[in-house]
Amino acid sequence: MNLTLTTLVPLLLNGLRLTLLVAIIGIGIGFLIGSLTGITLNAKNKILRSVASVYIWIIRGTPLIVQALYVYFVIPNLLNIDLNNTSAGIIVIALNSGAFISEIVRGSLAGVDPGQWEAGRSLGMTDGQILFHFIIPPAFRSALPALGNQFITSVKDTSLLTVIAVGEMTQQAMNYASLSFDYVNTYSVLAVFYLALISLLILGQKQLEKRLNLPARKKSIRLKKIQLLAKEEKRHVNS
Amino acid sequence: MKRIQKMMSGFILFSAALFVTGCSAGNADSENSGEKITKENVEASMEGEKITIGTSGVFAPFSYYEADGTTLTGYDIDLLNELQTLLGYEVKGGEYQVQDYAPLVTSLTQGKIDVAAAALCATSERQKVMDFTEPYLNSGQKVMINNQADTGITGVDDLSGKTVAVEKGTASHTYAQKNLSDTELLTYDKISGAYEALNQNKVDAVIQDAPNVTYYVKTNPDTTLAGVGDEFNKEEAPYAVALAQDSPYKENFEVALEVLAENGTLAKLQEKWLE
Repeated sequence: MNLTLTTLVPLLLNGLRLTLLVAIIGIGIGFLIGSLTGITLNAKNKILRSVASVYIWIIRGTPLIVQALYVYFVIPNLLNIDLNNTSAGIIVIALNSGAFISEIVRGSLAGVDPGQWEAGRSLGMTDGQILFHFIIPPAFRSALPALGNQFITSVKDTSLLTVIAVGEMTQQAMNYASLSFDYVNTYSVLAVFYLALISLLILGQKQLEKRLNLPARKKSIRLKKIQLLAKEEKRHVNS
Repeated sequence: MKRIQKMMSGFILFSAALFVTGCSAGNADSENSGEKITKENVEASMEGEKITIGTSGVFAPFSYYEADGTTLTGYDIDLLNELQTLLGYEVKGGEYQVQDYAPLVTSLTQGKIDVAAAALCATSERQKVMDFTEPYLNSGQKVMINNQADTGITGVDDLSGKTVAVEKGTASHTYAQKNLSDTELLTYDKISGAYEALNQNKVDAVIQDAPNVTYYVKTNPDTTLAGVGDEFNKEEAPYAVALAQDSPYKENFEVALEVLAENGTLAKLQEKWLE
C-alpha cells in the first residue's frame, strides 16, 4: 500500500461528500425544528412552551460528542431499533443545531416592533397572516447573521462525529494519518479543505445579507434620506 | 486596528511558544556513555535518567484500568515495572502517560514519549517512524462475530462484502485496509465502540488482536460475541516495546528484555495474564 498525497485527496473528497450530506440534511431539519420551537417559545400555550424549553435545556446542557454517543449507542439499544452511523450523525446535527436555532428564532421574533402587530390588525389580517407577512420577514432579516454563524458551527461540528465512526472528512483524515503517520500533510490539507468549505458558506451568507438589505445598507439609505431632507429644508430657509 | 494587530502578534507569539515547548519536550537526553550494554552491566544502567513512558490504558489484558477506574494494570504495566526495577530509570512526572493508540503512536513518532508498552504491534509501517525492541510476545489477529446474527462468517476469509469494525490505527486497521478492499470498514476510536457496534449488530464482524478477543469473551460470560477462525497475520503483529526513533535507550531496553526472558519473568507474566 503506497500511501501518498494522491491517495489522501480522493479520500478527503469522499469524506467531503458525507460531510455535506450530514450537514445539509442535518441543518435543514435543524432549521425546521428550530423555527417551530422558536415560535413555540413565544406562544401562549404553557405545555408546548415547557416541552420546547426542556428540549433546548438538554441539548444546550450536553456536549455534542455525548449526544452523538447517546444517539448512536444508547437510543437504538433502548428502543431496539436499527440505526446506522450516518443516520445517527444526521439526527445529532439536526437536534443540536435545532436547539441553538430556536434560541435565535425566539430572540429575533421578540425583537420585532410590536407596532407590526397593530399595523396588521388595523388592516384586518388574521394572526397567521400577520406572522407570515409582517413578523417573519423582518425577524428573518435580523436573525440572518446569527443563523449564518450557527450553520458554520454545525458544519464544523460534523467533524466530532468521528466518535461514532461517520466517514466524513476528519474521520478519513484520521484514518489516513494513523496508517501513514504523515500527520503534517494530512492535517494541513484537512484544515485547508474546511477553510475552503467554510469560506464558501461565508460568501453565501454575505450575498444573502446584501440581497435582503441588512442594516449596513439600510443605514446608508436612511442617511441619504436625511441628507435629502436637510437639503430641502435649506431650500425652504433660503427661499 | 492597532488592537487587532496587538492581538494577532500575541497569538503568533503564543503559538510559537507552544511550538518550541512542543519540540523541546521530546528531545531525549542523548548523552551516551559509549559503553556497550551487555547482560552483565544492564542492571541499573539507566540510573538517574528521567524518561517519559506511555501506555494505552484501554487494552485488556495488557494495559487497562482496574474496576476502580484509577489503577493501571495488565501485562504491560507489570512488564514496565520489571523493566524499571532492572534498569533503574525514573518516570518523568511520576506516572505513565495514558493515551489512546492513535495519539500514543503520534507522540512516539514526534518524540514526546520516549518509551511505550501497550501491546504495540511492531508493524512494518510503524517501524518506519519509530524504534522497536525485539518482540516480547507473538500475537495474531482474530475475527469476532455476534452469535445472534446469522452472517455465515467463520473466519477472515468470509469478510468480503461484510461490514467490519476495527479500532483506528491498530494492526487490525492496517490489515483490513491492505487486505479487505471489498469490505465496508468502520473505524472506531476505541475497541469498546467496535465491540458495542457488533453487540448491537451494527456491524457483521470485528477484527482485533487475539488476546483481547479472548479476554473480552472470558470476562463477559453472558456475551453473544465470540472469536471465530484461526489467528492470522501473526508474523506481522508481534508485540514489542516501542521507543522514539533513534532513541539512546534502545540497547538498554533490548538487553533488559533478554534478561527478563532468560530469568523466566516473561513466562511468569504470560501465565499470569494470558492463560
